[in-house]
Amino acid sequence: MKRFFVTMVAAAAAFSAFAQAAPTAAEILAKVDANEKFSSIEYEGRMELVLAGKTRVKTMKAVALGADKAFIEFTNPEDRGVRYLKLGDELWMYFPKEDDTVKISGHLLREGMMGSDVSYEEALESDSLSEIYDAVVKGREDYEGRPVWVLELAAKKSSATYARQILRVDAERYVTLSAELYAKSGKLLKISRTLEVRLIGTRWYPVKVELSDKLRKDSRTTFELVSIKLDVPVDPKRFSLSELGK
Amino acid sequence: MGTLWKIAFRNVLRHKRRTAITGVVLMFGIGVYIMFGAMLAGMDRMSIDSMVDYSTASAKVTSPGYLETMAGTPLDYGLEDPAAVEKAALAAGASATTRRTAFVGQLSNYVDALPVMAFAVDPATDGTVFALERAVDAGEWFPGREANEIVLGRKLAAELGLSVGDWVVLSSRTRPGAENADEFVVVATVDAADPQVASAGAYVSYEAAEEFLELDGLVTELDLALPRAATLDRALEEADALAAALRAEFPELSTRSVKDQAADYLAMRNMKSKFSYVMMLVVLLIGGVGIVNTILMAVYARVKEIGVLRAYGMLGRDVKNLFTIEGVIVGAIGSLAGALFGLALTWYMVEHGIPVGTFFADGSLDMGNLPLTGSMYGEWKPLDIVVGFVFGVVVSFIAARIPARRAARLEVTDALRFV
Repeated sequence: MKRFFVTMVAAAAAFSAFAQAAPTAAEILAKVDANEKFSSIEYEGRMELVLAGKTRVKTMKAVALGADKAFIEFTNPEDRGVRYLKLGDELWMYFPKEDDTVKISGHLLREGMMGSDVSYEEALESDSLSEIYDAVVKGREDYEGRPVWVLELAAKKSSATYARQILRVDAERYVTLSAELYAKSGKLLKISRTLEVRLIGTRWYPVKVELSDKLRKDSRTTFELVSIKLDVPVDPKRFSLSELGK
Repeated sequence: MGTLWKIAFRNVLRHKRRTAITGVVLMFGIGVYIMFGAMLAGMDRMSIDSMVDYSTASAKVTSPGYLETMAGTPLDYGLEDPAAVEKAALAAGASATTRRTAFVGQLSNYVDALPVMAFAVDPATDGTVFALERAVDAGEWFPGREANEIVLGRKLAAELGLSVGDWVVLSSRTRPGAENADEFVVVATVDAADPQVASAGAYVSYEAAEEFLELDGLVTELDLALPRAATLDRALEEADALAAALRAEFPELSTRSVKDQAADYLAMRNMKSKFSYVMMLVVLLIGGVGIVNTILMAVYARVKEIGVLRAYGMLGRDVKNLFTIEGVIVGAIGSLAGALFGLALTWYMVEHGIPVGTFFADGSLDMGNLPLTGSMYGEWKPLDIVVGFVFGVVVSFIAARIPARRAARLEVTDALRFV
């Protein structure tokens, strides 16, 4: 009986110490947001698309201001000069060969960018996870050699892209190392894995991410930020239709 | 002149073989011309019918916001009171109405995924406006045995290796904007004439879509049917009239007839019809050359006879008139036969059609956006019959006149010695 009592006290003390040391889910998300959310971004990127054994590589230069304004220009030979301008919920595409600009809104923002598994939304937006999801800590484990917090995220609003996410957040650097993205029905849609994390200024930022579509066999996209500048001044005039066709 | 007509008739009947050969040439030339016109008109009708049967209906009512952004098939703009529009449409002459909600989706068999143009449909009324239910070639149109049932275009199902009874994952965005994906059982495949439907069409019931897309009663389009009109022009006029009536009653909505929706195709059709006239002219010229050649042969074979007539005292002018009358009689007989032959060919094309599969291995003739599968039907073109007949008679007159004038100018001795 005495041994049982001692065990219970020890367990309670250990749990209390863990609870004090362990950040809450909201704290973890806030730290992730602090690392991954930006007011502006300018980068040169490389996208490797693998589908049914075939690999295609696309390179681009991009600049984005907040969540509403983004501009991408592809630089790989096949798509050289193709540009995208996102203003709010509207997307404009410029095709240099035809010297034509096409406006598309709605669903296309959610389609895979240039045939990849990365949607325009995912490529261009900088949403705060804390604003969109409620989170609970499901535990702590090792993931590919790193200690991670396992978080389960549930969308606060029905408009969130993914109804549920399981995140593995680096417990020391507070960067998402993997995310399982689920449909409203509960079906697993995509898995993202962070392949490389870089220290930019004072923040850790994922610079190489692999996204695989779970509804397609052998389909994955690796998105790499070759060079990146965060929170640098960006001229808002760059996000205009007149700039798109220049 | 009466005597000349009698002699001409007698000559036409006397030279039965020559008359028959000339008549047959005329008959084929004019018959093919009439059939060709009917076939071109039929192709236009089929293309528009296919649009009406599978996508545009006779008229479509949407909200203006939906119309402006319909390329993105948004689930943001619905009809507030579709029942009121349905009631007005039926009062304005529509034979049936049905509701649809379009959305972009992706279909996956876990190996491959293809984009689809999907629709939430009302299984009970969709068949009264669209031909999808009638185009089911395997399975059953929404039997209601499972909560999630899907009907697919035949080519789309084949591309994903799906058969009736297989389960497939349909993914799309819900109305609020969340990703959703769920399993649906393939209950039927449709062999639709519209290539867009065949290769990218996916249809689910409103009952399933309500849960899957969180539609909350959203209807993005109301489709209206009209009784089948006798001709394409009449069908377009009636659709326009229905759309105009609804526009007057619901100015806040966008009502578009098939003529409005198929504006690009109809503009192309007008361009095509100009090209068709060139083709028809070529057909007529070929027929005309045949007619001229046959009548010339007939005249030159009878030069000696002309010499005899002139030797008996017939004037050159009478000889010329005699041969002209003979040519016109033969031309009229041939043209009449051609018109009847053309009528018969057109009747066959209108009633039975020509199976396209006879000419194309996969049973479909892809002419860009013009869907032509199954059988190609013709359409009556009464004007072409009149034009064909008059053309035959006029060409015969000209064809006979030229050698007749030469024959009339021949010296009697030259004509008698002509070999």
